[in-house]
Amino acid sequence: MELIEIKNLSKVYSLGEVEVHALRDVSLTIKSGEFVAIMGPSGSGKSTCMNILGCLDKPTSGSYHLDGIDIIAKNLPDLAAVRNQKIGFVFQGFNLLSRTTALENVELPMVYNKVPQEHMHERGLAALKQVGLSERSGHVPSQLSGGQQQRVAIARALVNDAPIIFADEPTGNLDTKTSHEVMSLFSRLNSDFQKTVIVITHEEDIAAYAKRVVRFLDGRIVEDKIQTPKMPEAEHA
Amino acid sequence: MLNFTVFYTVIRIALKAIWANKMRSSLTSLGIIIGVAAVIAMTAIGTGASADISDRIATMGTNTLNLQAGRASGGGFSFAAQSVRYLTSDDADAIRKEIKTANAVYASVVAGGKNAVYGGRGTVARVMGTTNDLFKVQPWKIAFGRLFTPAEERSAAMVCILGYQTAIEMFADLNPIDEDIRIDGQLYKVVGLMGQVGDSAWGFDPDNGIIIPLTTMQNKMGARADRPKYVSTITIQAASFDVVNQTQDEVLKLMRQRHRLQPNQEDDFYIQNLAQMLNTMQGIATTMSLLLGAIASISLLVGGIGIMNIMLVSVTERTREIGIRMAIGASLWDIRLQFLTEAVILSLLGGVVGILMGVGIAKGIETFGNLRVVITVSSILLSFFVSAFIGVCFGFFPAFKASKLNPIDALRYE
Repeated sequence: MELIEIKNLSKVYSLGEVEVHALRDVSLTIKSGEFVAIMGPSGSGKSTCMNILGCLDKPTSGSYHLDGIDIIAKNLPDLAAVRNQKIGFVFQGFNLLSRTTALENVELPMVYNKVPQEHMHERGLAALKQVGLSERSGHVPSQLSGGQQQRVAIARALVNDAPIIFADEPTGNLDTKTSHEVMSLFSRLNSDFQKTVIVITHEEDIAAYAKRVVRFLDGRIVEDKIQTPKMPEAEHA
Repeated sequence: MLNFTVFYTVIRIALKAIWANKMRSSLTSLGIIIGVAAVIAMTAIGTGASADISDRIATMGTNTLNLQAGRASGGGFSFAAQSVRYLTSDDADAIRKEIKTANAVYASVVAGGKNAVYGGRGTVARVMGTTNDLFKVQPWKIAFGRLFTPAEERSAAMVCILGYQTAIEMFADLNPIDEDIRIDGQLYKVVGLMGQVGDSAWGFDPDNGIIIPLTTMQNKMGARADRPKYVSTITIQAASFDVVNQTQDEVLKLMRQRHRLQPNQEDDFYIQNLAQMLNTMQGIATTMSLLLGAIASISLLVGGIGIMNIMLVSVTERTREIGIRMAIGASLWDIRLQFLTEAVILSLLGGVVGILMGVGIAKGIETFGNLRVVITVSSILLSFFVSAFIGVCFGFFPAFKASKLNPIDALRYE
């Protein structure tokens, strides 16, 4: 079965008199285990598409099925549970809670998934180990480097065992070296743990890690190609 | 839905947010602290005053009636043709004889500001002319010496009983019994000395007074040709508290009869009922403490609005945090609960500190202000629950506002 299936998706924002067509009749299918890079210049509709795919927003028209769930039929508030269990988000600005330790940040999705307290620590630490940050579990974000913060965010995306990881410009705030480390981590999560990874980026060398590239322009998909992904770098802490 | 884990986590998150902004949190709670402390201290003072009134009246006896000449309506002028008749010793005798529910009856006349001298020492005292029956009704005790003899009472003998303080002023530590003193120049023999009483009753302070036989007052000291056997007050003690009102009715009937009042005529005397007075004064005290409490609870309300303000600021300040939580899967109710819990914890913390402070203030007033205070459990419980209620009420709007945020915009918020 398809993990993500959107058909004839449109999104229209009305700014007073003017109507902005952010998405025009977009159809896209993503199977479980894919590593997709969504590319396009700003204003191309890739962010709108990401928001809808991430269940943070609803389209004006069209259909969307995620892991068999009819997303269109649900109210936006009800989508909180879908986000919690199906999707792990990684943002450009890391979006960790300040004054909160790495472990507690990672545990946050489990709080809203009503995971019993005794399993939380265990699973949180396991997720941090997966991203190579076991030693830093007690540190707060301000004590961590950008790359480390982004890895905490990735651990947070993993902890609820969501099948999909959405990464919105995950390397936008990182230097080149750290960017490649983070992308390597995504590659490994995709190949070793069969996570479906969808990365939004405008950098070609970041998109190179993906197995498939989808390009947006003016609210439409203009290119959808399979490519040979760049191999992840050797693991280092 | 709301299992223990969620509850625990929500409280932990709330405590963390409160702790992270210690200064702001304590300032926020300050409104509630002051409000609760004010309510507790005010009601403690009010209840204390009420208890004080009850006690004072209880020592005067709740089953006594006071009969006096004049109109109860008092105030303004009355142009009624009839003249007001004064009360006499005969009235007292008639009441003693006719009213079966009366335990004891005494008549009295008080004369103010008499010079009392012994040797070179003197004082100014109020003098009460009355009968031995007084000591059956009032809790005044003879410490040394004796009461008046029946012969002395009959013959208007020149004898007196001194109040505790009067005796000290005139005799210091000498024994006054059987000594002669001069009151307004006339010689009186001291036959008795009262112990310290402390409270005054009906305008006569026994400690600073002198008591002489009623007949002596009527015929010698306060003698007036135009009103023989004059008494100003007749005090009646009913057999028990339960029959006070019945006694009052009977006295009323008897006195109307004796004064030959027609049914259309008003009473030319009035009866003060201590039980009624007790009720009235307690009513006033209760109203007072309610009033004080009401004024204090306005500050509670203001405190609640303060919490709402700060929580609204907090929601704006933490827009990004709310966005993150929503993206990660917090539902509307998770967000609402979080901010609501924070508001409730803030106001409950304020409530607890306020209760401690209010009790402290009340104790301080008791110690340094020499005022009686009674801290009631009900006022403490009430303040506690009211502060929790305020937290829920004023926390809900900010919590609702937080939950209405759009996660996309919230995540983008800088």
